[in-house]
Amino acid sequence: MFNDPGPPRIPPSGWPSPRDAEAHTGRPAEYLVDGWGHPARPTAARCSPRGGDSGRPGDGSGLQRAGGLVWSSSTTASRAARTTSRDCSVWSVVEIWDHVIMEIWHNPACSKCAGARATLDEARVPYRLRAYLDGAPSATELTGVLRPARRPRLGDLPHR
Amino acid sequence: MAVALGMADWPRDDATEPRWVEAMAAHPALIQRPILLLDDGSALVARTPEALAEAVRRAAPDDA
Repeated sequence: MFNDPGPPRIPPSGWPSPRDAEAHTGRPAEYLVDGWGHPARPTAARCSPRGGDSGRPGDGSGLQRAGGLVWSSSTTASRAARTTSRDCSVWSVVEIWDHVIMEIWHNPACSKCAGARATLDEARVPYRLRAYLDGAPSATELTGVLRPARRPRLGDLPHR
Repeated sequence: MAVALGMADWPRDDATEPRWVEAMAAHPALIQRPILLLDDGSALVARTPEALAEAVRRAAPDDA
């Protein structure tokens, strides 16, 4: 039921800088990427989500407007990306801050990071790119990565 | 940096973990990359196709 918009389009100059992302979202300087490898950013009016709040997957529901942003309230972030991205020529409208299913500690100069992103984009997995060199993880976060049992789920993490 | 800190001589045991962690927090370039954090609480270093496939499997949309 989804129109495949084709391979991810990631023009090098098209990525919002962490500063831009922060300005758009009012949240920390990290990149958002939807399931198409597109940067995600707040929606424009023409990109309003469809559907209600039934939470049923695949029909665009579960998307809600909040403070001018569109976000997915369910585990269907990737579905939501598919549902909405065809309505937008360039940008995805899905705000995945509030339900992040994956975070990448990302070094833009690292080819392994680029390879990981390419694989995830191909698999239509949405993720958040964290430029960890710009904002070093705290000792608590690092310990949580080393010992996953201590780490809260991504959706429960406070936004720095 | 790792050389400057003499990390090659640091013990790789639990008692030394805080020291490693503090070093990584102070010098994030020391952190292996890319690290993927998954919503199920797991984390992995995705340097191989196998690790990436595992990450996709854990995160795959259920309609894929």
